[in-house]
Amino acid sequence: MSEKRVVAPKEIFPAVPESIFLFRSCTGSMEYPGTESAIKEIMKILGIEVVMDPDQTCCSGYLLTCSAYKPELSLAVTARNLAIVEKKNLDTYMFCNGCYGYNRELAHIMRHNPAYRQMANDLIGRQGYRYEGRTVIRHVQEIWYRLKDEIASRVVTPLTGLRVGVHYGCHYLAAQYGILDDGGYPTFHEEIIAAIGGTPVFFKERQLCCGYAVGRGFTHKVETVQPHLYKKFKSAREEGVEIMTTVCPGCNTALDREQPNLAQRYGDEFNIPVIDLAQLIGLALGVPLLKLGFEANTVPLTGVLRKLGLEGGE
Amino acid sequence: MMQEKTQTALVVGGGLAGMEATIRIARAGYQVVLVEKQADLGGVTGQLYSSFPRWEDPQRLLQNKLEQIERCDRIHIHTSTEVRAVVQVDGAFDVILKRQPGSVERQLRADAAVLATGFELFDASIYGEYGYGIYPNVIDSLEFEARLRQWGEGRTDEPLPQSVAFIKCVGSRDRSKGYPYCSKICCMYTAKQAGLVKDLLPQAQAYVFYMDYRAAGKDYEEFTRAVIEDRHVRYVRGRPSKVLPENGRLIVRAEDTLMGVPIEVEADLIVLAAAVVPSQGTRDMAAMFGVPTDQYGFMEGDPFKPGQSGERVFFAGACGFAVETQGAQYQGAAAAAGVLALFAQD
Repeated sequence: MSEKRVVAPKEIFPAVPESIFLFRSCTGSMEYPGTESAIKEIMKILGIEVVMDPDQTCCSGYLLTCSAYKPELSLAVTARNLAIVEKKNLDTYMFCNGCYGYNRELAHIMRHNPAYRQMANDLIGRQGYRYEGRTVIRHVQEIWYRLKDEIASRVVTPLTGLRVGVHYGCHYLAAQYGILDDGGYPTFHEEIIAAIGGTPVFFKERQLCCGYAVGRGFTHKVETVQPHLYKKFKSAREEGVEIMTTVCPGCNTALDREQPNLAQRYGDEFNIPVIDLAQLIGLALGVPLLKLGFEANTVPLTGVLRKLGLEGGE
Repeated sequence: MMQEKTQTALVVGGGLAGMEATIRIARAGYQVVLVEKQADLGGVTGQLYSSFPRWEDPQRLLQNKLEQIERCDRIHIHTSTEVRAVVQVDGAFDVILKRQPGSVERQLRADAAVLATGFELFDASIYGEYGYGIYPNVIDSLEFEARLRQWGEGRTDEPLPQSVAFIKCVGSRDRSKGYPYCSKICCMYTAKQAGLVKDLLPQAQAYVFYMDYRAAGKDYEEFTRAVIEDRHVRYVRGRPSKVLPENGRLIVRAEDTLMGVPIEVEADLIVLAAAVVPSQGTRDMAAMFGVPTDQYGFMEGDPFKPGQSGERVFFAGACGFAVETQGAQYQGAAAAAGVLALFAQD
């Protein structure tokens, strides 16, 4: 590979960006709107301007994975969305590993194959868009890690004693180049958890996939996903995980929404709430609970909030 | 009438290939200066417990070479010494050696050079999923040779493993994290090591995770089959996805691609067959002697004179590419033949 797989945060961001384009996630908006809202609140605290655009559409990744339509069409969707960002001269920040993975992959194809880029531009050109391959695709978690110390210095509700199990998500760690940590044994989320006062828990199955692709999509393979997730949650409970974080609304949906089904199947309730890492950072930074949107969660955060002394606050 | 033999050859690297070249050049009547960075001669061969495909003791082989070297007063050995600078003057080399400790410098002139600077193993910690550098019981193949020696000599205080898992192609044949090339020797030494587990610890299980096994060599296929069929080492076709700690042991999670099922194997020790890469000495000497290298840093020869680069520089052993003990000796001998032909014409 000509491009390095693991890159230090300071190499990714010699300077912290003043403004970013935040790429809206469909799953995020539908399932956990609190994630986007938490990100905006943290960026406000960090002094980073967030730009969005209602013209941006779904990344189309999910349907492409399911071979629901031709990649040529999907390329045009990616090109169109990124063209919107390029017009604003910004880099693109995802908060969903799916959006991150698909956009990076398709942008890579178009950057390295002029014919494909031309094909996409021919299509979107009819509506006046043009994609040049300039905007860099990043994940907001990279900003959290880069500014870990600054975030730590702004903590108002330390997560003292809170045992947090992190879930990284495959579509970030499996990227072929330019990611923050070793995909085989990452630790940067745990470092962030420790920085905001929590206790990171290295449970055995912390890197087990969320099962979204076979669990919550239009292919709900109960026999595959439920034993798989049962293994993951048992391992988390054994190590005393009280809350799990994700950086992908897809993972969050799979891990949170499936828990009642596990309880029904195995007669065994875990009740481990699952929230986005940004929501947890938001909690530590004192973002009002209403803006963190925990009402959307299937497994309630009541116990965790009580532990942090934020009981009943809305 | 026989001419007086005044020329001197410099051999850099005292592993098997360098020793072989040294012995043959000296036996023909020339002076040889053998420079070795480590305190002892022997190189990687000195670390090995047994050899394939005949289960021979590599230390006996080395002992034989050392005795030949000791008997010959034309061989001048400099251990704990590195080549610090080289200048080519009128075809010959003015060489500065530096000996540690004390940084004692010494200058000498050599009429030809044989580079035999060997290889090292790829740093497997890049594969976080295998836990090298994270779990103490995940080690690489050379570290495992030391364990084999301890077990063989009955000197170990640690509890003996009940199960040992070997993972092949760690860094080899992997464009994403390692190198695209096959490191050539790992299939065979892994078969040897797994077979030795069954010999030395008969109660223990031995598993080898492989993509495919490559046994191209005299007696290699028979050797590997015997390890599988007679010693009952379990070969599992599939690349492990993860090594996980559990109850003080390790678990290898993989897919058995012949059965088409995900599997988990418990192990007390995991051995990674890490890719063969050029040693730092190989990279340094290639630069110092102007030897071209391939994209990975292995030395490259003249297409019509393998093992030779330029008029007076030869190389042998794993500094050119991964090679077995036998091949290292052949290459050392070939480099010596090149030097001797050159000296005969001088």
